[in-house]
Amino acid sequence: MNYFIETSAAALRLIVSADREIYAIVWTSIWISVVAVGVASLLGIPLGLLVAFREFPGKKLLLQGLNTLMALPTVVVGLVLYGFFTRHGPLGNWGILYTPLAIVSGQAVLILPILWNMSVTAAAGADPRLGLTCQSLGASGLQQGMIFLSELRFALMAAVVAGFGRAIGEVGIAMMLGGNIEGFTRTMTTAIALETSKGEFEFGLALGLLLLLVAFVVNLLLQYFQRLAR
Amino acid sequence: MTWAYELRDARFDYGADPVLRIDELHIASAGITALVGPNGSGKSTLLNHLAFLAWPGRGSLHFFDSEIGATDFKQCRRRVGYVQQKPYLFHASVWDNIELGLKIRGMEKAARRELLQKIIQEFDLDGIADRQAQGLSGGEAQKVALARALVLRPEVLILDEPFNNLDKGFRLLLEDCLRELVKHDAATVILTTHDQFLAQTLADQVFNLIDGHLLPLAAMNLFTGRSAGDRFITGKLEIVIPPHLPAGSRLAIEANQLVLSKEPLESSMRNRFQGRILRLADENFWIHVTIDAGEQFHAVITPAALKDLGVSIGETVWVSFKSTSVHVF
Repeated sequence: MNYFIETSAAALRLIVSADREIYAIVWTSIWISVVAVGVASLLGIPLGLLVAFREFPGKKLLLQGLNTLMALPTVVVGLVLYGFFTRHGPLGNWGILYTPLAIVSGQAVLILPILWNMSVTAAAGADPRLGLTCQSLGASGLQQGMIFLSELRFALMAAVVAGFGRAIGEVGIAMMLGGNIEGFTRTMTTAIALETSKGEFEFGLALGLLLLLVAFVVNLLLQYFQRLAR
Repeated sequence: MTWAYELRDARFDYGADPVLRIDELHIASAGITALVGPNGSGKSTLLNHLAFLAWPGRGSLHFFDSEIGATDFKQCRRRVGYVQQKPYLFHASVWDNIELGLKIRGMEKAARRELLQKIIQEFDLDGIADRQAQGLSGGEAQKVALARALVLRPEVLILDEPFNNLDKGFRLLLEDCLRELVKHDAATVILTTHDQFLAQTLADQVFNLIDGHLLPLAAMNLFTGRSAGDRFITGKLEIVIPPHLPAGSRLAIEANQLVLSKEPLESSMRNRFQGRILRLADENFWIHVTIDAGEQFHAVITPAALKDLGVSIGETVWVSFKSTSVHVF
């Protein structure tokens, strides 16, 4: 018990003393996940609106597929993309394995189904008069899309925040595609795994507490946007 | 006469259920047309079609003498202003709600501002222009939706039950506004209402929709029942009808065909029913009389006629009308 209390105190001292290494890792984690969420949102939200408002054969199957992919294991994404990015893989020439870009790609793939699916749900739950009102005001297809984005902004923000929460907390993709290179691709989750295995428990715990804090803020934001959406 | 709309052989179905069956409908331009009918009669479906929001399965549509196909709908929509029965207001301020249609049309900011200030003043919305539209009362929301449609200066203004939720002051203002719109801007106004009397006093043309079928008369007195020779039996009354009329399950009599008297009239009128006056309402210089004679009859008379008749609520009167004044369908 003493060991736990002592290491916890040391971890808190590291956080309070603004340890450069720790905050560099936190910053790397945050910017990689923000970019991944941005990429996934740019694809997932328009696709969500499109799927919600269009009828096509196989729509039900697609929605079931998206539901399944929401629980996509991170190591599976890491493994498949590793196959693509490795030197002998189809995208090996790009040289992006063990770079932040590789982690961004992996996290974007991981959270795309979440954003896509939650956007479909948000759009399907929109007031049925909304589309009719847009049309009666003479809005073009693109203008209607922009109005829908604006009207559903809170529900869509909730999707974005949920995606961010999933991305920042994952470890499989960051480890397999990033390689945990110090000052380059080391994220909070990979650093926790590494430092703990090296016996640097207080360092790992400090990062763990910061990760918890990020998760707490993300959760608060998620609840805030979900409340506004209702 | 110029027609704003000419509809022929229009058929609308929701799945296997027929919703509208209109053989022919002509709506005059630069006038007010009222569509009257109960809930589920197909009014909103017809309005959606006239607002170019839904394409029917069958039929032809001419809009100001041009034949319109499905591909022309988007273009035509911008010539029509449409206010739904329960209008949707965007999650934005009242000002932004009214401005959106002008923005969609790419109008310059200064021009938008000028038009907005004018309509906001006209509709007395100054006090709520900066408020969030979601927090408005039903009447305020209706006003904002009307302002949003009118600021676009549409050639055709379509209003679904526009007088619901409105206080009497704004209701009269809206009636004047619609008349002005027709008189000065030569706009075409199409509105739906349950209120036959309002339709008759406000509109130049009145159409009744019953179960998706159009009747070119104001059916303030509409009864259901069955034809049997020269009688139409409602269950409570037997109304004499011309024997050659095709059988039907509904009978309509226009309000101005009813004659009221204190004593039974000695005349050629075949239908005479004694009843009690339930309601006397002074509406726009006419007296709307409701009489319970087994079935409820609605008659329209002038204030002078009421004075000569010398009756009041609860008193007995005779309702008479000719068998040839009824429509069975």
